[in-house]
Amino acid sequence: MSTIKTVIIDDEQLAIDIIRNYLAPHSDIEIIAACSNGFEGLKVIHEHRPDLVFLDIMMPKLNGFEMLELMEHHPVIIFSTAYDQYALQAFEQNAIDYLLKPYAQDRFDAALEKARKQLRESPDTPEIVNLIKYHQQTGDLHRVVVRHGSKINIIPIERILYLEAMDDYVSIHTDQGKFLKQQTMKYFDEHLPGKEFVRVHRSYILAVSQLAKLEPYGKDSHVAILKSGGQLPVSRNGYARLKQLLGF
Amino acid sequence: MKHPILGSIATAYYFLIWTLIGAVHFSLLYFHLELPWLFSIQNSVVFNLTFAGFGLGFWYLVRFSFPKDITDGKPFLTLAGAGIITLFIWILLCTSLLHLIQPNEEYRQILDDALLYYIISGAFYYTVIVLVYYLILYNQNLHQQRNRQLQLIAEVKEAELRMLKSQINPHFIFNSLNSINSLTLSDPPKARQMIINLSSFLRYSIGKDNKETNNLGRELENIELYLSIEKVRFGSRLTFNCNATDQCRERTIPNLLLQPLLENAIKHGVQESLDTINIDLEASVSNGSLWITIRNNFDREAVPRKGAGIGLKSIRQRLSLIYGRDDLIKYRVIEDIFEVTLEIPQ
Repeated sequence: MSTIKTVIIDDEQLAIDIIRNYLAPHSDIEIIAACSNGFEGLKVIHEHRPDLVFLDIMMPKLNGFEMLELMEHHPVIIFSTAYDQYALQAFEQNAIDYLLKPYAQDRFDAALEKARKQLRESPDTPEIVNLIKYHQQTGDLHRVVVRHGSKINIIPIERILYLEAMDDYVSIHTDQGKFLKQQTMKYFDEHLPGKEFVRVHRSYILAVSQLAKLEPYGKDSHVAILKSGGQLPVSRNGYARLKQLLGF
Repeated sequence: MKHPILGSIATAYYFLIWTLIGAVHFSLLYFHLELPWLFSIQNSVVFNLTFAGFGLGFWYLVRFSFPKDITDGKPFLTLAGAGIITLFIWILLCTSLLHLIQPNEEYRQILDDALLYYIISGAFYYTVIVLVYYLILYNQNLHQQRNRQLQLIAEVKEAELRMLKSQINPHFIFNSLNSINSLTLSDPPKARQMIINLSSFLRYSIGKDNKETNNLGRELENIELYLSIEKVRFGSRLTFNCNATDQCRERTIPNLLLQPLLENAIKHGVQESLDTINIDLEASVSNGSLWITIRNNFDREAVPRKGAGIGLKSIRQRLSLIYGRDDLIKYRVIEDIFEVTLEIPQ
């Protein structure tokens, strides 16, 4: 019988200890690492490609959901969280299990059993993708995490100048350069604060604070001149949206 | 609602006034019209005493017809109708009574001739009495309304204060319980200690709902308890240093005021940083106020989480409600240090 390679990620040592304790009777589990923050956790997951990860949600810098977004390898995830109604809702819609702290050994064992079953039946876990989607629908966006090679960038939305659609990716232009993220324009359009960002064109979302002036361009389109000097096309719908928001 | 005349000193005044009216009535008949004195007295007593009695009853009439909305005209019709009926009964009753006492055709003629006089004076008395009752009732209502308003304002303020008082963060409780759960396996004595600390903290925080202020010493003990629990959770990621003289500890402070500030330091400092966060608390007394400064370092690269500032805002509101000043809490950021200063007037 092959062992289940397991990683524990939690920023509290005692929370890691209890998981270790609860895992002790399960001989098929091999704990390959315990990490106290998201960066370390991502690195370990990338290097060791574990089968199973116990993941805390509230952690410094990178929270559990953001880690999921950045993972290239998708292990089975069992979340542990103290109290989070939204997360609870999210989990209830999905097959992946969650543990509400504090939890008992038998509850823990049940979650582990679900994970074993999932690993036997489908090593790839499409549910995670659903979970991310769900989280994104309920969560409010105030930062964007982007992986650039082995480096992880956390971009506060205040830094964003504009977004540009690039096939399956979105190019995020900031005051510190541009970053690519695998995501849809629709997602950003729906989740960036509507008072600060406007979809001015099918392929562009503009941070309103960056707008210097609008000039007519062609028959019924405009061009937005940015404070940084750049120019973005503005469609007829985009112009209407800007007009509504800025009230000119 | 109590009758405004019956059963108080007002009763005496009421009948005194009627006695005066009766005297005038008598003089008018006896001196002016030169009628016999017995007839004059009988006439005056019967007419005025009965009306005095009726007058006491008008209170109920006014009270039950008193409109909820002052612009509603219907009660005036009711009162006018009741007035006409009262006048009719009064005059009929009095003339019959007087006739019974002294069956005399001449006197009867005098009464019949004076009918208009009785109608006018009766209508006048009726109007005056009803108006007085109206005024009393209106005044009482106004008074009641003002009292209710004051009570409402007090209740709103109390509710606001209660709402602004820090609520214990459920995250804190469940995470602490998780730590205890873990310690029961690895370090039972420490688990016991943490249960005791958590209980003391909860007892203080939950039980202090009714008391508005406390002394700083007791408040700081509670803070120490809170941070001792958080220290078990976060280990070396958190240090706390408290600097308050015994003199400061005697001073008063709204209870549980500091708790949310330390919770903020944990939430935005410790929970968002990979490095150690040092929290310093300093208290001093000057210019008749107690001054408290709390400082903590934080990770400047951490993106501020939404909800930042709500805790500070509610402390400001709470201080403003208690002391009537908006400038008692100040905060600033100096490089990687967040600093909050509170002034508590003594």
